Amino acid sequence: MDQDLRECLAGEPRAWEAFVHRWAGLIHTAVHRVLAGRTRGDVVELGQDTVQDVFVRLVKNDFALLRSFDPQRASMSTWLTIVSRSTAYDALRKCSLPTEPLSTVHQAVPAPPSDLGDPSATSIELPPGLLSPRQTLVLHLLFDKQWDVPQIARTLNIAEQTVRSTQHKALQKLRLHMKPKRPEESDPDGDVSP
Amino acid sequence: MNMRDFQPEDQQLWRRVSPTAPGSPQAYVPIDASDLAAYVDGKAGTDLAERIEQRLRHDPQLLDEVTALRQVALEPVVQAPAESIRRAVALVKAQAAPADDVMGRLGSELGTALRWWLGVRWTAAATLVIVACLGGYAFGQSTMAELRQSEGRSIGSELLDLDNGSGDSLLPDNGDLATPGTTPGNAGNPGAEGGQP
Repeated sequence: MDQDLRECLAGEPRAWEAFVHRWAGLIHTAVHRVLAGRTRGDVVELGQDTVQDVFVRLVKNDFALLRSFDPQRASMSTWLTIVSRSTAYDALRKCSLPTEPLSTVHQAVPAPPSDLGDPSATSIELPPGLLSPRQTLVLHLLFDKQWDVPQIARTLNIAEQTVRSTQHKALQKLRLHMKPKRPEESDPDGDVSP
Repeated sequence: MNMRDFQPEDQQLWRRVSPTAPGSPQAYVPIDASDLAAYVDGKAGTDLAERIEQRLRHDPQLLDEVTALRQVALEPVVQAPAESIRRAVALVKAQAAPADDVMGRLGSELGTALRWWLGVRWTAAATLVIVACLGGYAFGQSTMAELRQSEGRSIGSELLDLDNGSGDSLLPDNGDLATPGTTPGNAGNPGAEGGQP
């Protein structure tokens, strides 16, 4: 853990002041990105209160939340952005202000499958572990979400080539699994009654 | 969408085997801020990455969040208002302030006296308690002695009254006791009744 953060956790006012000066901009930006367009009230005032809430959360109970940050696992900027956005969502919930138009909420309800009632399109149960979580996610983003490869690569923080290769391998596994089995495959002993 | 990314038959194949409907709670594995930060930063281990990607498949909100986090990382950081910074800084100053500020205002001499008092206050408090206890004990003792004395006197009087129902004491006066056979009045002068040869 870096020296400044250690002093900060020890309750050193100067270290805390330096911490605030260093990260206030990022917290402010992250909070306002969540609030913008989601509230009818005074965004500036709500934003300032929410930024303050983020700092209160960090300080509360002898810096309990800030102590939970592990620099070995993630960067402070990413971690603080997540904490700030989470606090902003809580602020929106507290305000009980409409965060999305009704039409959007309506769209968020999962649509019934388009092939409902079509016997030929019955969903087939895949054996667990046939596809890895990443393979499943890539196919979901490609086919269900209609994302393109660069977007998937950006979101999963992987190379576009990796996305394509993941997609290719996953489809290969699916095709193999769906391939009709020959009789000798379904009856390995090959016993035939006389 | 870029249609070159897949073939329509691949999509149909996926639709047939698509394991679980999005939003199914069975895949909502718990993920905290540190886990998500590690994943976004590419520092999550294989196991954690699989857990998160399993949830991403079923949790559209988390998927939106990851996408937004990637986007925010690319955007320039805006300067926070001075008021926000002042209020945030005050959070820790307010916690550390009480003793320091009072000391500063009182001046070094008074501050030293106050520090000394803060140091000895428990000793002083304990001494006060002991003195109070001792004082109370001594007061109690003297009061008890006085009570016993007055009780003794009244008991004696009662005894005398009981001995003589008419109110006349059956016990002789001190003078009578001192000189038996003498009459009151000359008790102090034994030679007055011809006792002299």
